[in-house]
Amino acid sequence: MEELAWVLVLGLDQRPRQRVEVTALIAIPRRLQQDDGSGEKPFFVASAVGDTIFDAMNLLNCYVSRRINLTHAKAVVMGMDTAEQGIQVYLDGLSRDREARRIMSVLISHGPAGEFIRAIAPRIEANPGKYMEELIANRQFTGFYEPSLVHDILVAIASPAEEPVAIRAALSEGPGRPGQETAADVGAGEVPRRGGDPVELIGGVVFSGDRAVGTLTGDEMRAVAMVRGTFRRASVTVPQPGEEEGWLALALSQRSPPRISVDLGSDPPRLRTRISLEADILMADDGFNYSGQETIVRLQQQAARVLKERIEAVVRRAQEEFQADIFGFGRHVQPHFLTWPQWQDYRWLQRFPEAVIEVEVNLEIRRIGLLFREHRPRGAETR
Amino acid sequence: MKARIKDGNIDGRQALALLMVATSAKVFLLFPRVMVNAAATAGWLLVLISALLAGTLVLVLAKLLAAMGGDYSLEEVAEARLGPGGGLVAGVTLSLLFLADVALTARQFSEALITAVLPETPISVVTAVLFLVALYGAYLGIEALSRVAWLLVPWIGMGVVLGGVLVFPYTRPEQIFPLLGNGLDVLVTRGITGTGFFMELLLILVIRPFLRQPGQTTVVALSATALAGMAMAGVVAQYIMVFPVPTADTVTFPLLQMIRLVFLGRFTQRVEAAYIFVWVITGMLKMGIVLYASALLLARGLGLPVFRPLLFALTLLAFAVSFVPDSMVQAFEWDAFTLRERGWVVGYILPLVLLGMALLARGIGRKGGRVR
Amino acid sequence: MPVIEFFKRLLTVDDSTMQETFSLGDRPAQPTPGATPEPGRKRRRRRRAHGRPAEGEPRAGEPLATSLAANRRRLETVFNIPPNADVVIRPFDIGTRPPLKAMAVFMEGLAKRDVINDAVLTSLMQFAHLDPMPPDRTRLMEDIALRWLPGNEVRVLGELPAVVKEIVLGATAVLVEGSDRALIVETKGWDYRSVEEPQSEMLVRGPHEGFVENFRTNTGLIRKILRTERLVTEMTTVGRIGRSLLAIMYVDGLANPKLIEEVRRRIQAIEVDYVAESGILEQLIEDYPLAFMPSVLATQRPDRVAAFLSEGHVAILLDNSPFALVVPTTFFTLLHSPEDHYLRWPYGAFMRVIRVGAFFIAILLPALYVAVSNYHQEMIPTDLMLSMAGARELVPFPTVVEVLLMEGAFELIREAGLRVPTVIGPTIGIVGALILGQAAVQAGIISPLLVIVVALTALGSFGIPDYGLQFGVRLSRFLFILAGAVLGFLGISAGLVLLALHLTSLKSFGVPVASPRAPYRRSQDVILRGWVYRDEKRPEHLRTLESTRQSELTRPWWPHARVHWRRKGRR
Repeated sequence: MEELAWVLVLGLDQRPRQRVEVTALIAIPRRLQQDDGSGEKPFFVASAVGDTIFDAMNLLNCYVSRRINLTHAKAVVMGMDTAEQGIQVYLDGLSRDREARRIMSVLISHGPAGEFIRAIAPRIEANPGKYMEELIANRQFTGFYEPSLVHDILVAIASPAEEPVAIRAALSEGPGRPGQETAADVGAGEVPRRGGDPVELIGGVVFSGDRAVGTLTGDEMRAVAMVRGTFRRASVTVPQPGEEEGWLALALSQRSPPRISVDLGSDPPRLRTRISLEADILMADDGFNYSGQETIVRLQQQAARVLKERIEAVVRRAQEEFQADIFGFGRHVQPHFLTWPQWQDYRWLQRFPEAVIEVEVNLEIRRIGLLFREHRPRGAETR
Repeated sequence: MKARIKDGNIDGRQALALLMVATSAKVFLLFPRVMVNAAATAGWLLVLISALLAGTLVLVLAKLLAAMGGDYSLEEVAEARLGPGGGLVAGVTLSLLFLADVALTARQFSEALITAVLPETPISVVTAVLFLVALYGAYLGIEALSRVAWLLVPWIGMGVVLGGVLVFPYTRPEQIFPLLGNGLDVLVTRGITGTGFFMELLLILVIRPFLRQPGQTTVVALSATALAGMAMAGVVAQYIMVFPVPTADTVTFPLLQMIRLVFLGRFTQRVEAAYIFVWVITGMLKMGIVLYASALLLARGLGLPVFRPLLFALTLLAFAVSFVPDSMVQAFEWDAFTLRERGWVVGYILPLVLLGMALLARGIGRKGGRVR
Repeated sequence: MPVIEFFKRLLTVDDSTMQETFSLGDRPAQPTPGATPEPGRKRRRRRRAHGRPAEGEPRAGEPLATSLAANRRRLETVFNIPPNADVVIRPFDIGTRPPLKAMAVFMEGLAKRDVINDAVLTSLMQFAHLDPMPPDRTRLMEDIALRWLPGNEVRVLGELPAVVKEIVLGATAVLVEGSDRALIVETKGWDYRSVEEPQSEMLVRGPHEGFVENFRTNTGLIRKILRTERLVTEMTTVGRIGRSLLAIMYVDGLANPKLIEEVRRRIQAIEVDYVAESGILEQLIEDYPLAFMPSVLATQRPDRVAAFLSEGHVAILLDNSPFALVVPTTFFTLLHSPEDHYLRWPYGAFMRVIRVGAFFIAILLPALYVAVSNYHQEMIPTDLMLSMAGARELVPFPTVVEVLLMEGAFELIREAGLRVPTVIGPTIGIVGALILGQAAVQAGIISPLLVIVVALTALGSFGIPDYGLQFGVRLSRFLFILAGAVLGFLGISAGLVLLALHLTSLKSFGVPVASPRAPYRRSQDVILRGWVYRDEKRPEHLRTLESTRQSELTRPWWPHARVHWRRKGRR
């Protein structure tokens, strides 16, 4: 094992004449083992252009002394330009190889993948592979992106029932997004922030087949996850009810998988999606008396209404803008057929844009946290 | 009176384990993909249908054999009723069939190993190791083989089930719909040719004399068919639930690829190397069992009193045959399409014809109702 | 050339390939006309395999002479006196009137001096005159035995070889002028170690007595536990020169007669000069001398032997050996310890599981380490893999060399620890291991993780209760390391299948050693032990004459047991 160069993050960028530039982030085990005090990073980035991925990896070994090994790669990053040209050929190449794994995450970076990888500089973690892994696993409590393993993407590319969504990545630019509704309604590269690692992951890249056709923001991805049933837990903000401006923050989780009923009898097909959510109150800007069940119901209704609108907006985008069933509605249509040829001939993905999709959100607030009542400042009792 | 080949006694459960290993080892190879390719989402149903048909055929054969009385095996009956020619035809044909099975199994397991974990090792070394173990098992005979099979079947089963549990996050039950896959007609026609995948069940007719209670033949054969069929169908169903249909058809070694997906946090992933134990051990055992049966059949067909000296020659032959296919793909094609989908004619029809003739010969030959 | 022999054997058709080895569970063979009946083949006439009969050695059935002087001369030639000084011939007069000439013959050191003085010499010389001379000269010896010899075991023998044998075993022979028969007075007694705690099988719960070198003490220790008239001790001797006493013990009406007969057959076949220890006896009677595991269980614990006997096993005890052999032995028994049963079920079961784990660790861990680090690096979690790789940067050897070095060093420490004097032995062992490991890591010869691997392996191999199996495991560990180094997990899997095939093909006194799992036989005592109060049946694979060993309702006062009882359809 000391004779191999362990690639932790792999980058692929298309170059002219169907060539590919492979960027590899390679660990330096010695520096990870014990800090030699030089202050240098325990990894380095190398890249080479080759006719294929494997050709490029051989070329990398012109100047990397140990044999390049992909078995521990955690993520494969591809530039948006590359993604727009089609990613199937790369993913197929990787999944045919015994070293590369179908459980690598696919990230689509705003700029070239090479630049993205070169910018990686983890602060807490010494090991950049672990950094990537943890960052991607954060979706369990942020919900900003969907799992997008090579496997998921490959399945969705070939599937007649759904379209892939990959993780959206970028280097931080920090301007925010014009017209954003909530703070999380931004994509990678747009998060207003300062300091920390220059890379960021938020939002999704929508594919039609194997070509990228558009992007979604963090909040939109949460809506997608709720419909897919993959939403785990996240703190979601909605505008508080009433006239005054203010936010209501909820720790949201999915109570049960969404129930989607399909009516193929009508043309276009009608789908009814019922989403059940559970929430804890994290915060409300305006001092409501949460303790009253009446208030709770009011908040519930408000949150459900807002979420329903958001989901409907994303569904509309998917139908009109991308014409891609990123929600996997097709999976629920599929069991209504008796044989595979019938289902294939139905051409669900072509029908999806016309389908009538109704969304129903059922949200229940269960807990209010450790604070039973807000601390009312003196003289504010009137509210 | 010629000496019968003696080789220990086994009881029903050991025979059951033996048949299960021999039959279901192929789920670690291309088998699930072949089923999906044939019947799309109904691959698991196809397995069940094939198992049902194969079970019926074996049941008929076992009943016919039982009707002859005694604890004789297929070739012994053929020889006693139809003369040395009958024994020769039965013994040599089935022996060659099983030998081809051994050779192709060895080749495919070696290719799988090289593709999956040992890219630098020459294929001859890998195949030779598999054959050495199989030879040792076959040489030790039915007792050792069946005992090891009986010991390991629960562990192999647990390994497979554990694999299923580990890929649970990917499992989506709706992917086995549409229920009928490529249609009922495909299920029926491919179901018939698919009986070839259960050809190893015929082993029961060969090892019958070694059963402590020869009367158990039918029970053992049926329970082996049911258990192996259900296990294989379960694996195929699980595979379809993890790899939905168009993708399922793209994978070379389905079970291996499924295990490669295991990703339960940072600690439990990339476990497919540990899985080698499960599938290689199964493969070696299966090879040993089938090699043993092949030698036994040949010895009986040729009227020899012992089979062990034949083993070395047969092993060498199978070793050589396993390198005849030019590529991995050709080995797959020969196994799935030549040996299985056509071989069932030889595997089931020939014994049926022989036993039928033997039954008639009893009516005419009046040798006292009992063989020999 | 053993190698050529091996391959020749592979191609030969003989008993073993024809499956005609002894099997307890076989269906009774169909008697075929013309075939020889069991046990199969006629044994060749016993002939002396080597050497000519020594000069003066007693002929079989040679009678004693009537004359005392003639007998004395004959005994002197038999025992080579002089120069042999160990045999004492003490002439004396029996105190009758007129005095009867007589002599006592015994072996110095094997016969108890005070017994001879009190029970033979004093009584014959002094008390004889209290009683008138018997009228019937033909029943002289019987009368002497009845009236004047207070020894607790006295027999009358008429043949020289039998008399010589008794003397050699420690009895005193009394010969009287005018009689061609000898009185054999039991006077055996010699110095021996007293009963101590067994060194090799210590435990917390359970008796702390162990066998000693004294034969009769050992049989007594067993009989003390199984106080039944059905416990049979068959005595015989082995060795032409050594003539060690040997006992076959079994519970009559319980142990399978076929098994007892097989044990007798194998022991009778022993034709050697002498059997020094039960370890040699084991090699003379075991089934497969080259097998991975012993097919005979050696134990120092009387309680363990008693438990085995009550299950239907046969025990073999040899003079001068503090170990009893128990046959047949299965693989699983070698992983058992008596304490498993002395402790309550959860504790005992837990120990069993630990021990099975120890077995697999001892046999596989270093091989797995080698295989993983050479072929399957992807298995290791990334962080650990990178830190292992980092630690190995400076190590100049490939992993397999590293492992073999450390394992070799460990075996050396273990062997050396046995040789050094007891007082410093343990210190050398621990200090040697620690210092060696630490120094090797610091010198950059091996990686730190390997020290853990080797230490765990060592612990695992000490966790195996049977001394013989420990060796099997240690030896095959090296084979597994090589297999793992050459072919990774494929090699290890191949090794495992080979080992499993090997084990399942072995038999110990007609019982497959992988019983009761493969072939499956009903038994509650495999890896997990049975509940003591539900353990109603003896292990099936022993084919005992009585299969039930306790009432099916062992705890009648316990409501739970009664429910269970009723569920089984009993009243």
